[in-house]
Amino acid sequence: MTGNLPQDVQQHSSSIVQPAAGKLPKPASQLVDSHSVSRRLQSELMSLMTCGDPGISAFPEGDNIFSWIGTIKGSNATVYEGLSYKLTLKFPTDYPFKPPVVKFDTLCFHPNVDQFGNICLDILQDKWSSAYDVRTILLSIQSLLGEPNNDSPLNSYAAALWADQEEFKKVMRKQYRDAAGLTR
Amino acid sequence: MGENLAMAMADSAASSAFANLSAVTQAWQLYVLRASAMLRLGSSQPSSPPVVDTEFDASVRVLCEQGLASLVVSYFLDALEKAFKQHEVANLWQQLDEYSRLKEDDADDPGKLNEWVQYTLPKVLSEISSAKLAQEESLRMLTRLIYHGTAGQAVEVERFLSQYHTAVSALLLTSAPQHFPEILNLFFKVRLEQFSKAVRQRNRKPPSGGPSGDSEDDASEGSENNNGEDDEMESMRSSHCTSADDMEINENPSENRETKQVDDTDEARDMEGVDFVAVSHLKLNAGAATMQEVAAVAGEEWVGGVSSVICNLRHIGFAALSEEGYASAIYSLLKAKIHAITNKRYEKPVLASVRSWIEAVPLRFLSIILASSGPPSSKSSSLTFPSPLASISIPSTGVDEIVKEGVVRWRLRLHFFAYETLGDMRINELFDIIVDYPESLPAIEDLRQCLTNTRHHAKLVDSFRTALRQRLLTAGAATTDILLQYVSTIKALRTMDPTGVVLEAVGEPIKEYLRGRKDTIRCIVTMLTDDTGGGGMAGLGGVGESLFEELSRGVSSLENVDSDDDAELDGDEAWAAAERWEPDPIEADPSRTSKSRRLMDIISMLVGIYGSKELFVNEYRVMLAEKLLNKSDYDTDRDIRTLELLKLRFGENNMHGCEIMLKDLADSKRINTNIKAAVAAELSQHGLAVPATSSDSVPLAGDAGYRTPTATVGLVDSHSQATFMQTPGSQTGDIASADGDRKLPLDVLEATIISSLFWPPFQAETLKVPAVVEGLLEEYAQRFHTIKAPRKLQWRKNLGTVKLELQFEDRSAQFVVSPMHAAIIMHFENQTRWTATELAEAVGVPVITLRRRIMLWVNQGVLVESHTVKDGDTVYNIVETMGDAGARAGGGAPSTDAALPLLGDEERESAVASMEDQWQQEMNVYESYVIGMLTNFDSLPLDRIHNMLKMFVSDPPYDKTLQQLQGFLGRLVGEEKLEFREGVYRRRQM
Repeated sequence: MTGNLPQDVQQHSSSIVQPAAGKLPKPASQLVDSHSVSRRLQSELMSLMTCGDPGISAFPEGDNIFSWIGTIKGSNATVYEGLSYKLTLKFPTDYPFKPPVVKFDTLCFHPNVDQFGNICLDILQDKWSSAYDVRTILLSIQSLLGEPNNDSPLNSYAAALWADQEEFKKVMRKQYRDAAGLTR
Repeated sequence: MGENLAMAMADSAASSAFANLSAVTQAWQLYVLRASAMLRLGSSQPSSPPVVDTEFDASVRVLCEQGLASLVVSYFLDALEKAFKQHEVANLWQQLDEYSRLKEDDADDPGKLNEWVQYTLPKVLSEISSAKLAQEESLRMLTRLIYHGTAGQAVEVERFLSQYHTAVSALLLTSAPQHFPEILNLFFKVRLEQFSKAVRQRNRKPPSGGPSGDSEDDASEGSENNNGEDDEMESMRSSHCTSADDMEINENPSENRETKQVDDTDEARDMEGVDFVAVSHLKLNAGAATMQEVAAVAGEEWVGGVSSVICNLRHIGFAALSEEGYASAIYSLLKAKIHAITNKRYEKPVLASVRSWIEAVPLRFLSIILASSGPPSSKSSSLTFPSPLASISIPSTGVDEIVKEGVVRWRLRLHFFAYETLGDMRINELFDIIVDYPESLPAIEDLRQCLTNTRHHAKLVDSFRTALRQRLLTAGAATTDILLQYVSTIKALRTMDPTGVVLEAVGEPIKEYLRGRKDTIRCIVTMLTDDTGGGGMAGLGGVGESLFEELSRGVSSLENVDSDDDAELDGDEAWAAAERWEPDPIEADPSRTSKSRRLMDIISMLVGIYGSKELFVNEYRVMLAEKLLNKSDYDTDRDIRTLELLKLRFGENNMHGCEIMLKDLADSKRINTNIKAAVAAELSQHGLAVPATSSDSVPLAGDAGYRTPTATVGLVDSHSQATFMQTPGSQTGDIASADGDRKLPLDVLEATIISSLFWPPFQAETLKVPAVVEGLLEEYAQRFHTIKAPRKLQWRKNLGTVKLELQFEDRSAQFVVSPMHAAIIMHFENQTRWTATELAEAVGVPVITLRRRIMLWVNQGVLVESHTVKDGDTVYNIVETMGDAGARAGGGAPSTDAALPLLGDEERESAVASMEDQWQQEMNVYESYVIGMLTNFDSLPLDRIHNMLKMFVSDPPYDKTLQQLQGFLGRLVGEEKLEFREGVYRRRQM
C-alpha cells in the first residue's frame, strides 16, 4: 500500500501545487513595493503575537520577513492531539494578492498532505483572498488536520485509513515518531 | 717596610756608591722617626702649626737625592692615614656612639638627645676637621720640601692632597656607624625647625605697614609672641606635650614638638603669614644677601653653627652624606607641614602658602647650606650647566651664582615634592572632599594644580573608584545620597579636569550601580523638580535646589551646543577651530569622542545613566500626576515653571501630556468656583445661610461625637469624547445632625477634574463612600453636567484627600487622610463596633485591604483591635476616651489645624501606576514575541532574540538595549516561562 504513495503524491503535487508555484515568480503586476508588503507582514506578525491563539504560532525566519516558520499544535479531541507540526511559509513579493506557499516541515500523515509536506487546501490556491492572513491560514490548516477533505486526497492511503481512526492514529503516530527520530 | 726599603735601595741605589747606603739607611730611619713624632704632635695639638724640623728636612733631602721621593711621600701618606684612623676616627665614632645609648635611654625625651646632638656634632666635627687640616698642612709641608723649586710643585701638592682626601674619606665612610646618617638627619632637622620657628616668630611681629589692620590676627599674635620669645618656655611646653599627635613620618622620635604643639590654625596662619615675608625676600636667593637675611631671622650664631657643620662635613668628605641628611630633614618637615595644614580641611587653598613657605623656610635654609658648601669641587662641573628646568638662566660664575643655581634646582625639587605629597593626600581624601563640595572647592583647585604637575590621574581614578566602591556604592547608601555624591563628583571633577577624562573613568561605576537601583529615576526626577529649597525632604533641599538651578541654567548652553553643531563654519572660523583643536589626553577612552565628554552637562549625565529620556519623561509624568492629585489647592505655579524648563530640555512634544495635566488643574479650579458660585447664588436666593466651614461644628449626639468632614473623591466621566476625572481637594466641613438626616453643604467638596487620556493609568480600586458623601458627589456631578454638558463626571472615589475632625467624649482631633480611611472611620459614627468582614463589606473593599488600611486608625488610638473568640474575626471598637486607649494614642492627635500631614501616606500605594509597572507592561508586548519566536525556533541565543525584536517589532518600535532584554528574559526564566541553558533560551516544556 505504501509503495504507491509517492506516485500519488507526485501526481497531485504537479497538478495542484505547480500552478500556484508557477504564479509565484511572476513579477507583481500591481506594482506592489516590497516595503508595503513587509509592513503588512509586520503588522500580521504583531496581531499574531498579540492575539495569543493557542496552538498556532509563526515567526519570520532569520532576517527575511518573507520567509516564516510556523508551528501548529494538533487540536484537542483529534488524532493529532498533543502533536506539534512545523511549517514553512514563503510569501510572494505581491502578497497579499497572491497566497503564500505553505508546506509542512514536519512529516505529516494526513489525507491532504503529501510526503513532501505540500498541502492541498483551497484557500491556499484558487480560493485565496487578500483578506486572509497568516493567522487564518494557520487556523485553517489546524482545522484541516482534524477535518480532512477526503474527496481530493494527496495521500490516498491516509484518506483510505481515515475511516478507521484507531488504525489511522497508530500509523500516524508511528510516522510522527519515526520522523522525529530522523530529524533529531 | 724594611724589606721594601731594601728592595728600593737595591733598585735605586744600584748605580750609586755602596758607601751611600749607610747614609740613606740612616736618613730613612731618621725620617720615619721624625715623621711619626710630628704626626703625634699634630694630632695632640691640632691647632698648632707644623713645626719646622731641621733634622727631618735633612733626612728628606737625603732621601730625595737618592731618588726616593715617591717612597717618602707614600710612606708619609700611609702614616697619616694610620694616625688619622687610630686617633681621630676612633675618637669621632666613640663620641658619637653615645647617640644610640641616648636614643634608647631617652626615647621618651627627645629633647635631651636633641641637645646632645646639637652640642656634640659640631664639636666632634670641628675636632676632626681641624685634625685633618693639620695633617694636610704637614703633608703640604713635606711635598713643598721635596719638590721645592721644581716647576710641578703646585701640581704635586694638589695631587697628594687629593690622594689624601680620598683616603681619608674612604676611611671615614667605611667606618661610619649606622647611626651617623641618623645623627646628621636629626641635626639638620632640629636646625631647620629652629629656623622655621624663627621665621614664624619674625612673621608674627607685624612689620610696619604689614597687615596690622587685622585685629584678630593681632590679638592672637600677641599671645603667640609671648610663647615664641621665651625659649625656655617653649622647651618646657614641648616636654609636656604628648606624642599622640605625632604626625611626622620620620621614625626618629626626637623631632621638635614645637610644630605640633601649635594647633592647626596656627600652622595655617603660619604658612599664610609667610606670604608677605616671602614676597619681600624673594629676590634674596643668592648667597651673601640671603646669609644676611637668614642671620637677621635666626641669629648669627645659628648661621655660624650650621655653616661650620656643613663646611666640616664637606671637608672630611661627607658632602653626599650631609646632603642626604638635610634633604631628608627638609622633606620630612615639608611633609609634616603639609599634613598639618591640610589635614581634613578643604575650605582653604593651601598650595600657595605651601609654596611661599618653601620659599621662606627651606630655600633660605638651603641657601645657607649651599653657600657654606662653597664652590664644591665635585659639584662645580655639574653646576656649570644651568638646570634645563630652571626658569631663570643664570650665568654660572662665582659662588653666588652657584648657590643661586642650586636654589633654583632645589626649588623645583621641593615644589614637585610638595605637589606630590599634597596630591597624594588629596587623592586619598578625594571622597571626603567631594562630600564637602562646594565648600571644598579650594582643595579641588589645589589638587588640580598638583595633578598638572605630577600627572597622577591614573592613581586618582584608581583610588577614587576604590573609595566609591567601599563607601558609596553599597546597599546601605540611599539612592539620593549616591545621586548627590554623583552630582558633586561631576561638578568637582569638571573643575579639576576640564577634559572630562577622569570623570568618565570615575563615573562609570556609579552609573553602573545606579542603573541597578529601582528608585534611581524617581530620585533624579524628584531632585530635578524639587525647587523648594531648604524645605521638603530632609537633606534633599540644598542639592535639589542646585539641580533645579542646573535645569534652568543648562538650557542656554544646550542651545548653543546645537547651533555649534549645525552651523556651517565659514573658512576663517573653521581654521580657527582647527587651530584650537587639541588631542585627547592619552588616558582617554578612545572609543568615545571628546565632544561627548565635554558637552554633557549634569542633567544630561544624570539622564544618561539610563540612556533614554523617555523614561524620565514618563516618570516625571507619574510623579506630577501624584503630586497634582494630592494637592489641596489648585496652585500649580511652581509645577508650571518646572514644566517649562523641562520642556526646553526634553522638547515640547514629550511634555505634552504633562501640560494637559496642569491645564486640567486650572480648569478644575474654574469649574469648581463656578459650581460653588452657583450654589451660593441659589442659597442666597432662598435666604439660607451658608454654613461656615469648620467653625460651627455641631457635636453629635450619642457617645461617638466625631465629625466627618467631606470625603473627596476623584471621578471620571466617560461620556462623549472627553474623559474627566476628579479628585477631591481637601475640605473642612461638618456633618451635622445625628439622625442620619444630615446634608453636607457642597462647599466642602473640591474636585479635580482630569482628562484621563492624558494622565498615567490609575490604580483601580473600589470604594463605597458613605451615603452622605455619595449624595454630595452626585449633586456635584449634576451641577458639573449642567455647566459642561454633554460631559459627565465619573468619580474616582479612592483618590484624593479628606480632611476630617473627629470628636470624642473627651477630645477632638483633626486628620488628613485618604478617602478610604475616611470612609472606614465614618462607619463608626453610628455603630461603635464592627467586625472586619462586615466593615469590609460596608466599605466595599476586600478584607485584607481593609485590615491594612484600618491600622492607621488603630495606630492613632482611635480604634482598638481585638479578636472574637468565636470565629476568630477581628473586631474593631471605637476608643471613646483616652483612658481606654491607654498611652497608645501617643500623646493625642494633633488638635491644631495647621499643617496636618497626610496620614497613612506611607502605607498607601501610589495612586498612579508606577514607571516600573508601565515598563513591565511595555515589555509584556515583547513577551508574546519572544514566546512566538521560541515556539517556532526551539532555542535562540540572546542576541538573535534581540535582533529579531529589532527587526520585526515596529509598533511601538523595539528600543530596548541588550541588557534590558536580558533582564526581561531573566525575569521570564524566573517565572518559569523560559529556560536558559548553554547560552540559549528555549520555551519551558509544560
